[in-house]
Amino acid sequence: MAERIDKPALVAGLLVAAFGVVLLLDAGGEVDLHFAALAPIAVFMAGAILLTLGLSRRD
Amino acid sequence: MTTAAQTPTPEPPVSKRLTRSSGDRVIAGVAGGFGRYVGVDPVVIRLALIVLVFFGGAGLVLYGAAWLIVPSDDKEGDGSFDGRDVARRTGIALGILALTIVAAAGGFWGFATGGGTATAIVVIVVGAALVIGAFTGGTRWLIVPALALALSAGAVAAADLDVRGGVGERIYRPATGNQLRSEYKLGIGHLRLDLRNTDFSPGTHRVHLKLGVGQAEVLVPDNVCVASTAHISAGQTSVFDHSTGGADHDWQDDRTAPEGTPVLNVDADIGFGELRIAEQPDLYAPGNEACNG
Repeated sequence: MAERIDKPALVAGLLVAAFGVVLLLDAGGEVDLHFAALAPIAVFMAGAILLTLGLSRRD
Repeated sequence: MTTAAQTPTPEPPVSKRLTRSSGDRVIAGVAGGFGRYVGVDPVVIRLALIVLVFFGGAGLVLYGAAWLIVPSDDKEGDGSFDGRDVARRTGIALGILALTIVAAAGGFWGFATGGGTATAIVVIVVGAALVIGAFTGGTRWLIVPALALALSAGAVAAADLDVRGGVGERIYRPATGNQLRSEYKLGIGHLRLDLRNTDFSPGTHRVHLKLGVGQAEVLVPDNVCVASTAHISAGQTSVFDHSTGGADHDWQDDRTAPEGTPVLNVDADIGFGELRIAEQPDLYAPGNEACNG
């Protein structure tokens, strides 16, 4: 079954879920999300997913 | 027996066709095929498309159009037109596009209407669904809508956007400085506080403007000294003839006035948009002559 793991979906899911936790902390007032942090986070998420997509094709 | 000279037969010219790549593809092979066609790494094409998504969704439109129009390279040589395949691809593309738009709108409204916690939980659940789908298969199509949901909610969270103040145009003209409310609030639209005919008594008057998206405009008489502070998540501040802006933009203009001159302290909190303080609408001219300099 491990060979059938969709790695891009896995990485995207983990990143989206982790970002959801950040949003939850922001909504609760624990952290204050600003564009200065959001922009690199967004680029990191897109980059990580693209990288995984590229690497998964080589497997 | 004679031997004819063997002259090499020239290779027939290979027509360079733009096709979607079946071997180098993430969704439909558009970037892979286009990269191969122009001799550019497909990753560069993908990054460009992602950047274009944030400019009015042009990346999605271009990708969808190419998906529909450009044939796949695994069907080269088959000149037949497969109507059912086109219809299927059209349906998938439109479905993902619609879901992405709905997800982005949902993330925006969820956070902007005070449902930040619920929206964040939805984002976590969608992320978890992707993780589970990674093991069961068939959920890769959910990546783009999930990112749209998460990042639109993130943009609203970063902007501290709150649209519960209403939508539209609000114009306030208090008759005297004492009738000035402590706060004027609008969710989306144009908020104008017209104080040009307001009778201000000497002393300090304070007003707070809270706007989600749009323009907050304060029109002031020339006999009042205006001090101003503002936080704008993304946009600009135009105070008389001075204009500045950007993301996470803070503005502060401290002023003092001669004895007996009314002072108006304007404090603004704006998500996306502009704070404008002027003596006349559509006039960007020096002002604040009532201040000490």
